[in-house]
Formats: sequence, C-alpha cells, structure tokens
Amino acid sequence: MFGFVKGLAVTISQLPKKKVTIQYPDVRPEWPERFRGIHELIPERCIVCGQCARICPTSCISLSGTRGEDRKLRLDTFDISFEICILCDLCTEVCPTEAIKMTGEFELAAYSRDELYKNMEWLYDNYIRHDGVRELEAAGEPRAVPEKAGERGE
Amino acid sequence: MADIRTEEMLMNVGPQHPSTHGVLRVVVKLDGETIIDADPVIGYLHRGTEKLAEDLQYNQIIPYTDRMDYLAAMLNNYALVHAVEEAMDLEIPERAEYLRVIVMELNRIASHLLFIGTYLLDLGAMSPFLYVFQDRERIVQMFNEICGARLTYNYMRIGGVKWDAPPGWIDKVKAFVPHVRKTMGMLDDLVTGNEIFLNRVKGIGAYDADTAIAHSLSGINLRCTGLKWDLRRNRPYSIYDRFDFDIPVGENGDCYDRYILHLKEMEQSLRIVEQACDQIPDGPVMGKAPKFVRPPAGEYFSAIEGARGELGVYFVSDGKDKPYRLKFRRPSFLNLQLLPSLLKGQNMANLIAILGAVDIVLGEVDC
Amino acid sequence: MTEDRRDDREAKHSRDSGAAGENGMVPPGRTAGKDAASSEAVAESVDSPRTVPPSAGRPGTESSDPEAGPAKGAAPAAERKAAGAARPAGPSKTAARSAAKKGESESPPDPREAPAKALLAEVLARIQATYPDVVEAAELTKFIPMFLIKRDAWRDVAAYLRTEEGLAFRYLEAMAGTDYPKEGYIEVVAYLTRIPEAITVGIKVRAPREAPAVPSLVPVFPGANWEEREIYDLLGVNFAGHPDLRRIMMPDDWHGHPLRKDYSPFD
Ligand code: SF4
Ligand code: SF4
Repeated sequence: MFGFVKGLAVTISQLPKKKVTIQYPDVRPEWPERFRGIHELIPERCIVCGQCARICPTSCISLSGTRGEDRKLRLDTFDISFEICILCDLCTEVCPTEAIKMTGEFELAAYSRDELYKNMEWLYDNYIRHDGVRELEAAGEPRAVPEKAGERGE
Repeated sequence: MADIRTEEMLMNVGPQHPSTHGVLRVVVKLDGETIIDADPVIGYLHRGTEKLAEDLQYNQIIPYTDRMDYLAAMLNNYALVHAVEEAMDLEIPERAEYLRVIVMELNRIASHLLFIGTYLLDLGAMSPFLYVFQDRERIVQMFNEICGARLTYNYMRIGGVKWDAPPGWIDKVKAFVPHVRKTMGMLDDLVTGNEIFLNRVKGIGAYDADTAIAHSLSGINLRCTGLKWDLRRNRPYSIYDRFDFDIPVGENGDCYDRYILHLKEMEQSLRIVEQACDQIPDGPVMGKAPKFVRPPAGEYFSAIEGARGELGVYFVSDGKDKPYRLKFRRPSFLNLQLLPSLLKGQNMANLIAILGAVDIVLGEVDC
Repeated sequence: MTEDRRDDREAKHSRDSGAAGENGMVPPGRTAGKDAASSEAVAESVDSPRTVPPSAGRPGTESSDPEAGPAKGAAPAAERKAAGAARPAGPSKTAARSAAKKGESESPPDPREAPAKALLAEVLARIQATYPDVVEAAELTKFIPMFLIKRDAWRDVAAYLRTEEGLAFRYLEAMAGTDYPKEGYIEVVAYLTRIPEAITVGIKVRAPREAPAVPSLVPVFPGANWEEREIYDLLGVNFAGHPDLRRIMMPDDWHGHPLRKDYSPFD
C-alpha cells in the first residue's frame, strides 16, 4: 500500500511545475548553431569539384558545371533530392569552399514527391532566407527575402 | 493437432502494436489465455545495411549505423569506428576518446531512460513515460548542440570525432548529472515500490545464466542472471579502464531484475560521465586519419558494450576503401531469440511484460 | 599479423588434394613466407615459457591454471611439428619478419600478440589431439586465433571447444557468412568466447557456392539459431540439422540471396 502513496506523492509534486512543451507551429524551437537542417547553397562559391556528390552516401546530389570565359568552372545545375537525403552533413564537411552549408530549416513535408527535389535556385533562396539576410545586410545591400522557398525560380 | 480438444487460437500481436517498439509481429498460439507457442516475425525494418555498406566508404557507413539502434546511435557509431581503428592501429587523441565516452554514456542513459518509460507504459503506467522524456530531451538537446542532430548523430569519425564540444558544454553535462539522479530517485519512488508493478514483473520470464549464455544473450539480458559480463570491464576498449564503476547484476533473471538493472546501470553511467568530465584534457579531437580509410586486408572482429548488449562488428577488408563484407552482431537480434521459449506456458498478459523487458529496438533487430 | 587473404585462398586452391593436411597444421603448397610465418608463430609460442597462460595480457582476467594441465600433453606434438616445419625455412625468416612488418608497420609488437599466439598454439594442439586432420589452416586475425575447420567436423569441433575441460568456449559471440565468388565458396565464421575471461577464438568453414551446406551449430549453441537463419536467408547456406531453417529477414517467397556478391534483385 505504501508504494501507491509514494507514487501519488510524486504525481502531486509535479502539479505546480512549469510546462516543458512548446506550442510548436506558433512557437518555433531554437536550434543550436550546429543543427543539421536543410542545405543552403551559394552558387558563386562553388568550384564544381564534385566532392559533395561523391561523398554523399545516398547519392542524392547531382550537379553539373561548365567552364566559363575566365576558365573557371561555374555551376549550372545543382539538385538535392530530399526524398533520400539523410541530412548526414558529409557533403558540407568535404566542401572546400563552404558553398554548401546546412541551415536550421527542418520542415520538409510536402504533398508530392516532386516537391522534395530541390534545385539550385531553391537552395540559394534558402541561403538568402537564413544566413544570407545577415550577410547581405552587413554588406550594405539589403535584399528582399523570398517569402517561402520554392516560390521563386521554378 | 487432432487430439487437442481445447480451443486453440492463432493471434497476431503486431506488426503495428504500440508495445512492439518498432515493427515486430509475434504470432502467438493460444490455448485459452495460455500461450502455447510464439513465433516472432521480424524483417519489417530490414534495410540491408550490410549490403549497402559493401558499396560505401567506411566514413559513409557511419550515418547508416545511426539508423540501426536509433535510440543509442552514438554507441553504434562507436562500434564501427572502433572496429576500423582497431584494424588500422590508429591513434585517437585523448580528448576525442573522452568526448566519445561522455556521449556514449549519455546515450546509454538516454536509451535506458526510454526503456524505463516505455516499459512502464507497456505495463499501463502513463506518467513515468512523460517524466523520462523530460530528461531524455535534455540529453538529446545536448547532443543537438554537439553534433547538430537529435537522433541520427553521425558524430564520430574514423580517427576521432567530428566536433569538439561547444563552449560550456562539458559544464552543462556536469550540471545535468545530479538532475538525472533526482529523476531516478523519483522513478524509484513512483514505480519500484508499486505493488501492481511488482506483481506483474517479479518472477516473470525468468531464466538462468546457462540458458542465457547458450542463447548468446548479452547486456542486461545476460547480467540479470547474476553473471558479471560487461565488455567495458571484461575486455576494456577505449579508455574504460580508467574509470571507476561497478557492474550491477541481478539475481533471479526475471523481468524485475532487468528493469531494476536499467536504473542501476544509469547510475554507473552517470559516474563514468562525471569522472570523464573531470578528467577530460584539452587537445585536438581528430587524429591523423588517412583521407581514404583502407584497412589492411584481413578479417576483423571487435565488440563493444552497447546499450542493449554486445554490439559487435565483423568486417572483411580486401585492402580497398570499402568493406568487402560488413556484419553487425546486433544485441537485440540475438536477445530476441529467447522470446519464444520464455513465452511458452505464460499468460497472454505476460507477453507484453516479457517482450518489453527484453528491450529490443527493431531497427537493430532487422538492421 | 595480418596476412594477405587473397594469397591464402589462391594457395589453398592450387594445393593438390593428396598432400592436404599431412600434419593437419600447415597445408603444403602455401607460399614459403606464409608457411614460415605461421609455423614460426607456433614455434615461438611453444618456446616461450609455458607458464604464461593464454589469458595473460588482458587486464582483469584470472590466470586459468587448470587449462594448462591437459594442454601439456598435446603441446610437445605441436612443438615437434612446428620445429620441423620451421627448420628448413632458413631464408624465409626474413620473409616472416617482413610480413610482420607489413602488418604492424615497425611499431613495437602489441602486448596482445604474444598471448594470442600462445592461445592459437594451445587450442590448435588440443583440437588436433582429438580431431587430427580437421584444421585446414590456423592463423591470427588481429589477435584472435582463427581456425579453418573441415566441413564434416564443423559441429564436432564447435562442440569440443564448448564442452572440453579447460577450453570451455561456451559463448557464441557472433556468426557471419561471407561470399567469395572468385574463389567459389562461402565462408561461415563463428566467434566463440570463454566467459568470464573474455578469451575469443574464431572458427570458420567453407562451403562451395553452388550448393552450400554446413552442419548446423544449433544443437551445440542454441544461440546460433537466428544467426544461421540469417545466413541462410541472405547467403543461401543450408544448415543441415537446423530445427527451423526459414527465411528471417526477407519474405518467404523471395528469390535469391541478397548478400551474395552476384545478387541482382531482378532474378
Ligand atoms: S546531407 Fe548527406 S545525404 Fe544529404 S546531400 Fe549531404 S551528403 Fe547527401
Ligand atoms: S563540394 Fe562544394 S565546391 Fe565542390 S561541388 Fe560540392 S558544393 Fe561545389
């Protein structure tokens, strides 16, 4: 019998405690700096070395580039299929120029599989919406932030 | 079959049963309320990790190990990198070893906490589940800070760890330890003395040490029989020989022992975390690992004490940067083997008590 | 000491069957360097003081004296054989050393190496004393002695290792199967451990790829049950005497065995 009473005491002692849940869609979680969310891409920085595509364990990156006038490689297309991306961070780890990085964006739900196929523009928009805002403002050229990723350039 | 007169019933438990912790199906043959035969059907989560690994470089396999025992991914990470490091005789920087031990033990605590929560939930106690999740959440948050993911950490690399601890992280862990102690005391108050709980688990699903050894059980499923077998102590790897900790063992080998051992082991893990946080030196966290990991040709086996038992990695290398064959010795897989013989002759209601106490994670069983 | 597996396998293939296992230890026809390497390993460990139990070097293990007793009877035989094999190989000593170098890359020998060698010699001698001609090869795979057992004797040797006084490898730690299509066989390996000393030996067996069949270990180690089912499922090895050999991971009506190297899902 004593066991029940002890248990009940614990339950009652919990009553005045503060709530620990977050009302998610209204209150957004705060992610730490290293959080591995959806990628962002800065096409200008990419040297089309292809290392990210090679290291990706699920082979979900496909990219192509051409050699420009100045004999530098320029990125033409860059797609990540988030159907199979496991957000493992290996691609950002190997990227020599930090062209591809990860953001705190984590909402990937979509109505169709095609929407999970993100192209270069989308990834660049993602950059603008995250780090880009800060960086561009610091550089003195504020820029309109796209409302929602994917609304531009598709 | 013909001479059985009582009504016999074939029943499916699962594959989507709330207490099967994943997708497990148990086909039970019932005679009234008594189980006369049980056959676990697994494979619903089989992703062919071992086959996939044959096409991946060693560092690329690490994220796949996260998805085996998803409640203790740090330990899975370590099992793989440890096996490869052993094969290549790599030096691991001190700080990296300490960080590994800290995250592994924290992960063990998180996993055990979840076991306690879900086990009690299976047995009908709802509130402990919510309490343990509070603490587990804090561990998960700490992991999120150190490696950027809450469940699939991909934190360790061959030769070290990916990130150093962020500033203040070690202190946070230190401050967290007494907090878990408090929770454990609370769980003890809440549950361990509870007569209903005791009636449901005491003396249920008991087996002895010889059975356990013969069936290759490991981890708490083995230690609950009174056998002191913990690879951290019996075959020390990493830096576990530097820490002072005990190996709690059970007496009767029943579900109650398995439950209480989880609590006791958490206490030991906390001790290790405390010591590691005090001793951790400064320094690099990544050793001199070659860019392309190519273990010398040969076959290797090494094992660590995972959250659920002995987590072994057997791999055959042909000198290339991908394993020729990689096999995980998954503790859940082997621990589940004993289930049919444990269930035979038991009451149907005991199925959940016994199955829950085996502490399986289906991602690991199916690999 | 890691040896080149490929050499090993090729050597085993080219071996003529008549001379196979004349002393059960070192199959003739293996390359000279390897011959010397493995036999020297035995010779060394036999020369080294017998008082060092195989468990030495692992912290926290008791020195297990009783097992030294029965081993003594068999040890001289191994010594003689080993010495005989090592003597004619004068120049190959350097080969052995270079082989050792390749594995260890000039670092001082690992403290685990000596006890592992002693264990290798001891277990080998004991198996051979009871079952002559069943060990086709014996080597160290990174400090774990590994014995290649003849298929017919697979279960007997496992049972012997498990029950025999002083050996008592009662715990089946892991089992795995590997497909070697080039060599034409499937290999099944089992790691047996003595509890609580944590001493491990490995045994393995080979079966032809076309119709692989291996005696089941379930009568000896009930824990082999699901491991064997998994190997059967994924590699197609038939375990003779297994009580319940069904697919375990794949659906029952699946075709083919996915872990085989030549598996294609469209067969
Ligand atoms: S996060 Fe991992 S899976 Fe996703 S694109 Fe990068 S490397 Fe590939
Ligand atoms: S690794 Fe970086 S620079 Fe190289 S192709 Fe990928 S994104 Fe571009």
